Amino acid sequence: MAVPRFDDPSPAVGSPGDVVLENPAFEVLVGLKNLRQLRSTLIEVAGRVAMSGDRDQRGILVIEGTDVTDHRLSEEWQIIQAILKPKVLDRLALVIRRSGLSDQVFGRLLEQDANGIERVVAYERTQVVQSSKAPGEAFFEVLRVLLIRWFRKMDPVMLKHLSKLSGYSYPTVAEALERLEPHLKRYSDRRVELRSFPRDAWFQLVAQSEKVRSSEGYADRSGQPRPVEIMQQRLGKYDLKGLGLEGAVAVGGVLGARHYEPGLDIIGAPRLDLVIHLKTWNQGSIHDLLRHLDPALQPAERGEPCQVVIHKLYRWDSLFYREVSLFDVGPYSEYSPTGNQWADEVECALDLHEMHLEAQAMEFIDRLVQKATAA
Amino acid sequence: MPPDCLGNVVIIGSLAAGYHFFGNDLSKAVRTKDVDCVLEPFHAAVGVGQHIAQQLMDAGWQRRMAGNHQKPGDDQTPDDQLPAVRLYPPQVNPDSEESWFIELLTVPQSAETKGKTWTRLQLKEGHFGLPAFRFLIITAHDPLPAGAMGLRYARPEMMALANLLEHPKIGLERMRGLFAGRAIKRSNKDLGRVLAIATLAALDDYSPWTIIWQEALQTCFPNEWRQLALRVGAGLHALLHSETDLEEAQHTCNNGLLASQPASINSLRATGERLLGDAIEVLETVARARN
Repeated sequence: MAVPRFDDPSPAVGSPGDVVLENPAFEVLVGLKNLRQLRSTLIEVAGRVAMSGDRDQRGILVIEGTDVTDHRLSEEWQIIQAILKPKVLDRLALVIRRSGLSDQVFGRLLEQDANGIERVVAYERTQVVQSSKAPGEAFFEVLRVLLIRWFRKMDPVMLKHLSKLSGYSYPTVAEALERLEPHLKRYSDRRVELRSFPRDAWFQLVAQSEKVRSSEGYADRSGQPRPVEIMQQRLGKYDLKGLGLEGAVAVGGVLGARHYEPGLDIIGAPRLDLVIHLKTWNQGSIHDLLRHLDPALQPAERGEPCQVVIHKLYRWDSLFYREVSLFDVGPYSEYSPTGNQWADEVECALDLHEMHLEAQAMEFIDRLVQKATAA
Repeated sequence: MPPDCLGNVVIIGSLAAGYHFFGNDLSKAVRTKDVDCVLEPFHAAVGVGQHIAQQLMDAGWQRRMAGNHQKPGDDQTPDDQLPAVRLYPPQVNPDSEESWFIELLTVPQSAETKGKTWTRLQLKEGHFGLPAFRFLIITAHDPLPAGAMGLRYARPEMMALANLLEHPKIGLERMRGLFAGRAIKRSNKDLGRVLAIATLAALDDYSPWTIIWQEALQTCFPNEWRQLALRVGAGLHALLHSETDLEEAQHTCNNGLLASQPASINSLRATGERLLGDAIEVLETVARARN
């Protein structure tokens, strides 16, 4: 089957292996801006197909999110149909992907090709996000990783490992650590850990949260939202493995915060926050996942109350808190018949802030800090 | 009705749904003109039908004079030209707004019987017919007792399944009369009924219906259940993707089962999507997996 494969079986974000494609050749455009860009890229893909020595060589252009309307895309495809020779056109496909909607396909797309799209796009998105990240965002990523490790009372981390965990180069991580110096404990063997809670840095992260995180909201417009607990139950019954999402989905938000701090002063959960770890994500469909949670969900407009929010996590290690079977208990696992995965403590706290549950967010942080500093 | 016949009668339609969802709530009501009574099993339908119809007519119940075949038939009348048994209570004026009537139907003779069939019913007034539609067998599957009356009524989810099976697409046929002042496609009325039932069921999760439906399909159509399961969602899918048809369905819901709690288009669409995603698509997966 023609699917993308990676030179490095577990590429860290920031130093990924190249995608090697035999047939079909994928091209991904994330956030298509205009038709000129579409036409030139389609012609480029068509050229590669035409010039290939292989008569069966196919080319697939995937548009991942665009503001261009379906009608205009359809018109553009008709123009392409008129321009290209049938023997080339027959080996081309254009796939339009919009969040929360089924894919729209122009041209001929084989089933096995369709199966490869999700992973190619996931990989491409990590590249786009990495390359578009401002250096300042490295600071927040390093901060997040250090906070999680501190909250969990984990051992100090080697700088090299911190670089891998955060997905940033050694010098970038070193620069970020300088800003955290007053709260840092350094060891002679190049290990570091937090010694206290960096309150100022935390509030900077909260203020920049929307920019730093990649989140998409989904709303119920029926006036009869499905209860969050029901959606969580449905998530537990979902065949994540069969759908390429095994290990890639974790519950955050109020439910996650309550998992870490059951005594937290929050009644009910206004929405379901899910974190998707893109490195673990293997061709799974977020559209299918959402449909399973509640088929009535629609992509939310800006400012519209959401029933589900999906946060995409790009770093190398998800740092999810896994509930595993009794026979697989590790230092950061506990027995649970449901096998839930929980987003890390920082994700949950940021979700609470995002929901304007400020008092609860601070209560949550204070409790975590108390535990971290307890003997 | 004769007491010894009650065990063979299953009430279906909006009255059954209304009884199930708010039979004990006097603040709510159902708007309906007919009480559909399915006589089953098939082999008992003629005897039971004769007994019920004769007793009611002898008690002064009035025949409904509407449609193409009003006059009772005789030995020579083809089955499909016999009048159905439709009876108004004795003191009711059939032309009044409050009038209602009962209609006798039956289930098909076998699972292989397709389309609409008629079974002859001889009364002293002449020959009548018991109509049967293929998927009425689903509505009569595992009915619920109607309190201490001795009657039974169809499970709402079974009526929903029967309507879904009956309409794998939006047909062009319109209902003979007006529905709350409007001419309505039969498919929209029946598929609208599915949405109304699902709305009233108000389930947080419709996935339990998958198991109930699968069991009913396997029991009623042992040789064909997979093929039938694969077409359960087609009509509903088409309805949800047609603004005009969905609006018509909303009109029937809000002037029928949902008269006491009118639903918006968005609400009906959400309910339909949940039914598709939670129950129907899972049923399709099960049917495909075991092929």
